[in-house]
Amino acid sequence: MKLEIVTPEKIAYSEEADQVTLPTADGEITVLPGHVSLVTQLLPGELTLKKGSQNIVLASGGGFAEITGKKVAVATDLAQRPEEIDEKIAEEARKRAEEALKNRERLSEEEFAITAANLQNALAQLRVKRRHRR
Amino acid sequence: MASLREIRGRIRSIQNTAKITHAMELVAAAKMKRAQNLANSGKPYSNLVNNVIRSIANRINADSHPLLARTGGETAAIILFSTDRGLAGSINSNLFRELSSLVGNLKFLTLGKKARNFVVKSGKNLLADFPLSDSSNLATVRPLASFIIDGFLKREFDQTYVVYTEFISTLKQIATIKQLLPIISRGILEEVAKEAETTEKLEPLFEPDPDTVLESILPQYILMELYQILLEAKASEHSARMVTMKNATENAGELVDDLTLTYNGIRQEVITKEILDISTAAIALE
Repeated sequence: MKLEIVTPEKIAYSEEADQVTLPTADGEITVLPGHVSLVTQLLPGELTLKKGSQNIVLASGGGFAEITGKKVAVATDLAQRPEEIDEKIAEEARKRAEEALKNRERLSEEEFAITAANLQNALAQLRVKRRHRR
Repeated sequence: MASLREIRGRIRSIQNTAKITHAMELVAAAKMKRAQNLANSGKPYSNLVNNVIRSIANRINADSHPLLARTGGETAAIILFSTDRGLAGSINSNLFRELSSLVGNLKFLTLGKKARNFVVKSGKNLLADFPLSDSSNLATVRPLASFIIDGFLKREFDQTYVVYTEFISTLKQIATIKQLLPIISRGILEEVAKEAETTEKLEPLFEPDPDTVLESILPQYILMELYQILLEAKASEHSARMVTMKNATENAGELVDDLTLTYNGIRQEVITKEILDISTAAIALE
């Protein structure tokens, strides 16, 4: 099946893939070719895909995926391979977000949502980076 | 005939102007490159989101979310993406000309000083003005996105159109009107109807459920659409300015050439006259 992973900055992956595991709002799902049509919300986490003997892991952000029998389209605001993640930057982002969230009453509802999303993204990056360290 | 001194002064002032326009051309070229890269790299994402929305629209009821469809209503909010600074050719005037095709009760939201001044001067209804910074990022359009979603849901307006300059290439930019809300426009509905004849109609599953998914996708779609438009408007602005300034520099060069020719002609004439005077005087003295 054709897999497309796109972020606002770049096309992170656009090739054939044998299977892909997505972190959805209801937990992880694994999509194989011929999956029923599905539109699902994605949460920040770890996205895994298999192509032949190749395994690729990506830290992914919030977004959504449209799945049809032949094609999986993933639109997310973050898609990074472990080697692309700079642990220091991610760690700093996490600290900054946590710091900001402590003063919750000072943030507007929208700022809070954005900061919380940033925190989730940073956590996903760190998790993927640490688990797949070479 | 103009005196030599006058022409020399004019040549110098044109050369100075050319220096300025040349510098502006270089600055615009650098900014243009960045803006074009950004606009191009954002396109796949916005296309993908567009396609997903389209294929969802194909298969669900249009009334499953208030942002998707609305019929009737005369009031439209117009989001006008212009530039802060001038000297970018006819980019803004083309944009404002495009507005004449919109009718009904119009309320304006503007980005950029040029649009704000135009809306105020022409006595149109200005709802809000958003600042446009040189470093365009998502934060620039976030307030705008929540403003129009709010207003639309509260029925302050029934449609939202974006008027901006679409970026095609460095030499070509087109003033465009695009419907943003309701998301399913008549155009999409017609296209979808055509596609529906060829593709089978499958009710998609939504996880966790349609409401949650639409609630998270649709505002994100509006935001990304606006962001992509902002990037394109920026790329268009810098491209237009670069080309305009390049032309200005070239025109200045031509003017200087012309004036130099006249200048040399006059100088030659003056010299000839002086020689004539001297030789006549010499003959008279003999």
